[in-house]
Amino acid sequence: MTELQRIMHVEDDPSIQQVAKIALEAVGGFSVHTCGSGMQALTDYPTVAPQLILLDVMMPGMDGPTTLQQLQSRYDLSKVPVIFMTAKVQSNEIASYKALGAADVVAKPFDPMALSGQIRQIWLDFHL
Amino acid sequence: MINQRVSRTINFISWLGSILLLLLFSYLAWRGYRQTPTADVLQRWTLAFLASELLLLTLLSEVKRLIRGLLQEVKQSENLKRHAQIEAAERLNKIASQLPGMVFQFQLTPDGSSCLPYCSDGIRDIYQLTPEQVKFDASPVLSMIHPDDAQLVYDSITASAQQLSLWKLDYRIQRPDGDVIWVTSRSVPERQADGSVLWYGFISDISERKKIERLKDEFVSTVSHELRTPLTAISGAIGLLHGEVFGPLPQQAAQMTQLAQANVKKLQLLINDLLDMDKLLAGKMLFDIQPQPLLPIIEASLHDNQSYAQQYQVRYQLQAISADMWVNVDSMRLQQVMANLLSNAAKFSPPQAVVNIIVQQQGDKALIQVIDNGCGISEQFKPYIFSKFSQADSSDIKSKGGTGLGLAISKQLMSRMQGEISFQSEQGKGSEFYLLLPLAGTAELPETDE
Repeated sequence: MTELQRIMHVEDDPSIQQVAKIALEAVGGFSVHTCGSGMQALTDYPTVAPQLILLDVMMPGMDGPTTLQQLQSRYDLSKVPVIFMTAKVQSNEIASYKALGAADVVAKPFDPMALSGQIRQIWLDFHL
Repeated sequence: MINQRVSRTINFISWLGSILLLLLFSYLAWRGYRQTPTADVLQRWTLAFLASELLLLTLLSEVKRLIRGLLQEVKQSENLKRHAQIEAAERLNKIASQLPGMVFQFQLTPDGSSCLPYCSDGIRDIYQLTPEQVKFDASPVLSMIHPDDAQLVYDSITASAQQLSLWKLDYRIQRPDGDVIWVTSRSVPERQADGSVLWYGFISDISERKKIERLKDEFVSTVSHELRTPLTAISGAIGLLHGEVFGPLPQQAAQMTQLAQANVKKLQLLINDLLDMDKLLAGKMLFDIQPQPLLPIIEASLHDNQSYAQQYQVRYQLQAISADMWVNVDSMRLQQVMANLLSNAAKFSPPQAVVNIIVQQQGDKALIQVIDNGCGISEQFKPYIFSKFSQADSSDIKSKGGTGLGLAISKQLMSRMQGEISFQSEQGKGSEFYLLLPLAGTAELPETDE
């Protein structure tokens, strides 16, 4: 199993983009490519070739679930775990994200010091 | 009219009686004359006839008077009844005109036709129709039901008619002027002798209420997203600073970031509690209830709350008397209840104290006790402990923080999982909160390989 390095973070809020980027790069040592919208994620995906995608659920324009469906229809995500980052974490909501093909869900607000560990664990579980 | 008929009948009886009497007495006189042929006999029977005739006429006149009196009374009583009915109808109309909506009778006959035999003037405001327009045919009203709600309305009316159950529904109507309004209706059906069903009820305009509900939902959604988004960024930024990602912090700066982090956490809890309470009250919180072993849920709760207890130098001690109980719960929601009880117990316990958690079976239920030796609950506050925004009115207790929603939410959550939450406490000696959950039936448990 290859080591996780490249992460694509899709999030419309610039503050959360910044916090997550620092948390993942400075604490976890990953390389993070940030996309401000679902549309940008669709465009950037082939050039970035991320190993893992962190996807916000509520975004203006194209929301997280639609972005995931669009990505799935265009690219092979069988080896790329997609993790939703959302404040909407009722059990039925989590189940619906997983039914869409999400590997897991990270609840917002997240602990920036623990985020990298969480992501790494989900990566390991995905490739077990 | 009836009087004339009675007079005629009495006159007829009088004539008939007179003729019969004449025949009878003529016969008797003839027979008497044959036995004793003297004029005295004829005279005697003539007098008897005249006396009987007089008696008959007097009797009939008395009967006539009696019947007329009776008829008069019946007529008066009917007049009174009619007057009372008119008065009641006027009274009903006056009262109904002051109601915010319309009161009605709706009749559905076995052949499918319908009408509104009674309808208050409120129909003008709601349907822009007059009561007369629907008195014999309800189709003007039925045709105004919004197409998206029509099936729902018809199905619910059919069900109410079949089961004779209360008909209660919120639905939209599209008025002739194009306006769409929301109405709420409630009525009770009664089966009539002719097989039709007659509902008695009211309909009122709830468009304003629906608008407020929508605004509230939008507000809750805004709180959920717009408030949590900046909070995520603030919490993340402070977390990175406090985690010394950008280098070591001076001691006072570290204290400040810790303080900011603690308060961000409080804000998060407050928002979560408000959203949870809103969802619970609106019936929008979904539960994933499944039969599952109880002990792992309790152990996970203790594990998750360990660091919170450490802040107060308190230790949790688990005693599992019955270790293999299965319960029907949503594990996440049960952990939420446990987190509330465990954090309260830690918060109100003195440093170095031990909070005991006992898990055991009690009859057909699982009993979970959380026992602390903290400050206890005052008698005055006990009745309000599960109320929303309830916190004992003491600066010492308020300083411990909390939204005052935790126990109210816990009670709602337990109730939704068919469980109970209760407590006993003595001020100054501590509290025992306990949860009771029905055990999962053996049929519900998954099969295991022996």
